[in-house]
Amino acid sequence: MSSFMARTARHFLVIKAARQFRQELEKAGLDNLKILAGAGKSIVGTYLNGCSPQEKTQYKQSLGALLQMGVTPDMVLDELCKQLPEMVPIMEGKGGYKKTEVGKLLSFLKE
Amino acid sequence: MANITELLEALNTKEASVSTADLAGELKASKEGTLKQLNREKDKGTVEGNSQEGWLITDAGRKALEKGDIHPSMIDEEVTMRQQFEAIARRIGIKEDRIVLASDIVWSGDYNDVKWVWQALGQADIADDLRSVWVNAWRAKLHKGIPPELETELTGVSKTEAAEEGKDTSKGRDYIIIDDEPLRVGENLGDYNLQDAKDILTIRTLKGRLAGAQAGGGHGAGSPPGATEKVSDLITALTPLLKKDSDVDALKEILADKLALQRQEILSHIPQPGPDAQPKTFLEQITEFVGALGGLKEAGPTLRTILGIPESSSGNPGTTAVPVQLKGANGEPIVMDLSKYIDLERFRGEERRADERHGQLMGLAKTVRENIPDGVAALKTAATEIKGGAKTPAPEQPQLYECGQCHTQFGVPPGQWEKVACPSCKAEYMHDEVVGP
Repeated sequence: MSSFMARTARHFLVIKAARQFRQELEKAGLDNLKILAGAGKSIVGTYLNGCSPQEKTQYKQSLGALLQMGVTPDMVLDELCKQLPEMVPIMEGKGGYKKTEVGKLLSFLKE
Repeated sequence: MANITELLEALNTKEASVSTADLAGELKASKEGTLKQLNREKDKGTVEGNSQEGWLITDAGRKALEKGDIHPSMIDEEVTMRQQFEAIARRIGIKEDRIVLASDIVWSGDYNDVKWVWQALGQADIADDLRSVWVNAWRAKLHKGIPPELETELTGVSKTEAAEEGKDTSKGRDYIIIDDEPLRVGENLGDYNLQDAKDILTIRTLKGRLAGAQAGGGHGAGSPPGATEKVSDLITALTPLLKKDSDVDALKEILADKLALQRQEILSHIPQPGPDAQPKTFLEQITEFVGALGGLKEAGPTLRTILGIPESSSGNPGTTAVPVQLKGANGEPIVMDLSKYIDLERFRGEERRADERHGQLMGLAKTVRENIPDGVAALKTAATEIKGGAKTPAPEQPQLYECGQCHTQFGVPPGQWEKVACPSCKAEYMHDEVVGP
């Protein structure tokens, strides 16, 4: 059982990570995301593939630090759905879409 | 100042706290000294309190008093140098506040230096009579002699008074001359008194300077006794006169005569062309002139001043054709080290090239940064591609034709057609004429 401080820190980290995701997704536009999800293309994968090597390194470091703190990609996506309710139908629209996105994040970390 | 035992015993007899002033009065000591003692004892833990609340002896103090286990420090025993210095002043009768101020000033410098102590007490505005007694007593404690500079002040007898009283100058021969400096070796152990030593050194200096000027004149050996020697002899002969109480005008006259003689003698050594001399060629005259100027340059400022030759302000060495060797402060010739300058220039060039390279790299980085891919842009592009299914081709531009008569450009109707008319001149063209068979 982790301490209260650790749980609180993890909670705030999840909120912060989800907020950053939301800001990036809002830049792309929800309509575009819906089109991608409808076509079965991974939003996370597309986004990460489009990033520069520097950005990729930065994201890897951030995600690795989050994992060490006990923050999983699943938790971040859940928080993202809370902050951006329009994402809920996208994530739950197709079976296993969320799982695919989590898998993309993890494979990105292992690259 | 009372000792520690007396202080603690005085406190031990009191049942209530006692002020510093009362305690000092009881011990017949100064308030400042008693306060210092009390603060030191407070640090040891034998007393407690302060100046405002009063002072009390502690249990530890009582025990120490009973045991007799009190070991006064150097400060308690008043054996530090400063306390001894202040004790002398108290014995003289200087006020306590003046003592503290004077001691602070003295201890801001070297208190072993009698000259400094004298100056410091002067800065503390101590009267001269008290100051000389204080410094003399301190000097005796330091086992130091009277510095020559303070002889008048510390002995209380000025040189003029000594001269007026007609004291025998043979007495007080305390000095010898070493390395052109008068050095006191003890009472009647030397060769000269201070005034004699100074006079001799002055004469020696003057003699040496004139000898240098004589040597700079460029006259060879074998010449008759030089003017310098004569002048120095004259000065030596005049020395007793100078020491006596001659009036100022007489001294000035003697000095003027001496300088005139010196000038005449030096000028006499410069060869003058006689009336029966052989006429010299122009080249010989120029050579002699240049040589004379070179000789004058070597003679230095003293000879030039005596001869009335103005000193050249420009100092152009080319006029005398004598190379000038610059010398540094240590007397060593200054050598221009070009390698350091070359290294400096090389370093500057490398720095300039490095700056330019850095600027180009920064520009390149900026260009790369502007063209690096963006995740959001990738999402938008992917969505656009999916939306359009494929890349939508650009709309085809309609083919235009030119009228052969009025040269107006016109299009053809879509689909099948047989004839088309120019919108300007209404000239008609068949399908085969426009498009071709």
